Amino acid sequence: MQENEFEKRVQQEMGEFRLRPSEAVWGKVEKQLRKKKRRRVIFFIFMLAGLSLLGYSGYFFTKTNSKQNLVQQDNNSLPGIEKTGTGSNKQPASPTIEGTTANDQAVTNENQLSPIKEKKQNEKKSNVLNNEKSTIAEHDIAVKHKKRTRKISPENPVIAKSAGNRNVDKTRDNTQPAENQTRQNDRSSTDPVDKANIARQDIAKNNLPQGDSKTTEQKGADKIADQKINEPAKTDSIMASALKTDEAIAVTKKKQPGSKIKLGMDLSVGISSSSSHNAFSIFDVAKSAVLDYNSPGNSTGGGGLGGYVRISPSDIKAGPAFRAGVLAELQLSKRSSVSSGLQYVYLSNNISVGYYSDTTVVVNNSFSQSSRVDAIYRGKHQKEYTNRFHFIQIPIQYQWQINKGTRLPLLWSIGASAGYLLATNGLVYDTAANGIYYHDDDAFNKFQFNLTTGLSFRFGNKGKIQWSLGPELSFGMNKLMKDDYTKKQYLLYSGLTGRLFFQKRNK
Amino acid sequence: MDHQKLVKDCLKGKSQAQRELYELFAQPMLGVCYRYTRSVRDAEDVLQEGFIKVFHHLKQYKQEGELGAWIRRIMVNTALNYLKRNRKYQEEMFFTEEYLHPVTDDDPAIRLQVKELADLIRQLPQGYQVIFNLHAVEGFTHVEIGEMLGISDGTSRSQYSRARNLLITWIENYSVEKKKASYAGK
Repeated sequence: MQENEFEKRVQQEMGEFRLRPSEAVWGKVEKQLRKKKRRRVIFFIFMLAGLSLLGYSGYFFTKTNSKQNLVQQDNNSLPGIEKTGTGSNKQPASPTIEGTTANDQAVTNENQLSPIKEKKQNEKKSNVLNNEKSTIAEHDIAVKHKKRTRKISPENPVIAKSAGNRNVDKTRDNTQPAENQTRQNDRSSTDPVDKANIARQDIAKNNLPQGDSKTTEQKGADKIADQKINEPAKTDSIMASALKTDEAIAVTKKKQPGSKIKLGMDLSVGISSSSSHNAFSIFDVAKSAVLDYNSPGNSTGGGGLGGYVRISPSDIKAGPAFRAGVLAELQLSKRSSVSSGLQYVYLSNNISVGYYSDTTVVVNNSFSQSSRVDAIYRGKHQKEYTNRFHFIQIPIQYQWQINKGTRLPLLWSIGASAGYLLATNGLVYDTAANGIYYHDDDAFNKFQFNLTTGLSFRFGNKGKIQWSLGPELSFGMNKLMKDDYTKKQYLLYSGLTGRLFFQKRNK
Repeated sequence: MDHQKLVKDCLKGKSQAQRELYELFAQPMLGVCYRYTRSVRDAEDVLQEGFIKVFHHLKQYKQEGELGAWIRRIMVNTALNYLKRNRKYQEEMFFTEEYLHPVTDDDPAIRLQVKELADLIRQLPQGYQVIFNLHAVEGFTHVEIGEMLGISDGTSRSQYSRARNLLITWIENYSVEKKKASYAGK
């Protein structure tokens, strides 16, 4: 087609047309550029903070567990228990019921510990056996000593008499030996303590001077007898020390606090939609800006009736949504805590679209560039289409217990989250070709920031597993789409959130 | 000037390079925006929005065509989007199917200043103004204009011919008035 000279001239003239903009224009452009940089930095700081909190809580959790184990090991190897064991070596415990019980308690405590402590248990058992052997040996020594003293000491009339009776009254050999035997039998039948007492009594009757007149063997027997007499007292002291040790263990166990970090899972189910006004319009069916070009006979330049009507964008209805993830909660005080984690979020909403068409249409894309799209939905709205959005996000939340009781804590939570759009099948509206819908990944903002708030009841506070349940709301703080020449969209979510926490407690 | 290096520096985030790019194209682009709007203030709003999009999507520029032409396309589309969402312009942005005006062979001598011509173009009704700018100045075909504005190419042709005839009339009248004024001044 031969170009008219007029068009050429106009083109040439307008090509040279320049106007100087005011300085304020560059100022506003620069401000926007810095704002976008700051948003990216804030997002990465947010992500780093969330990941750091996760990492620190995991480290703190494992470190606390290992410390608790060490403390328990140390408590079981306290000197009180060892002294009981060694004491049984140095001062052999009499084979009484009390002594046995104390040792058994120590053994049972050790049995509850790690296998490393089995060696100590075995040592203690061997000590107990040694104690029993030593008591038997001492008993034999005492008996032998008694026998010797009777034979050797002429100053002991009892012994001498018995000895003499043996030697002189041979006629009474039948009886004396019997008497002696009975005496011996009597003495042998009694325990060593009684025998020692009997020996002392005999000495006292014969008015024998004690002390120096005693032979070394007598003194040794007396010492053993004295030890035996004093053994119950010593056993009591050992028992007391063992009891004190147990109390100390109990006290130290009580003093050790439960872990401040809890790991858990998060699951939320609800509905999502988008608001066109701001982040606080809940369940608002987003009204679209009607861009029909009806012409009621405007006089300026146009003329006549017969205006041109474009298909307007569809209203947006709520769709199902859910969220799942893992999180860690750090207890700040008795009634407040902070949590963070990693979550997968699925959001959706429903729109009405026309029929599908494999037609190439030129649209103004999000770059304000004309681009061609090959698949569109056009015409009068006749069927439902579900826009789906898949996010991965890092939340940071602060929880505060509203009520003071511990039976059924009611928690109020507030926080924010930073999300990244992994994938979407969302449609974009364009006025081209009488109003169409088409898919363009680049039309959506990849980074989404949300504010969240909610209430929840927490259960199982005294057990290992705690869980909470309650409603939650989430509001998008930035636009869903980059270009908003048709309408603004902010993501909304409301649902029921359940959380499960695992906490290791000391026994 | 080496635009490739300038683009690379802008992509690195160097503020000096960004300022340089802006200074290079701000004046002609404001002229483009001025032709689509009714006021300098609106034109500056479009210019600001357009340059934000230029820097945001600069990585999409594939160095295939001239940088100026690429930026110009962004400015034109930004202007169209601005008109679509601005109520002030929506009322006048209508296109009617009229009888096709034949394109005249008149070649009126354009003895106007550039700005005077631009002001005359801006006085056209909004719909005529947009189509005239897109076809006569930017060089889009009627088919492309139809796709961009959501109208048929026939509507685009008829609207353009009406706009053209109107503008020519105004230019001639303006030229006559200007001559009279200059003679009166003498």
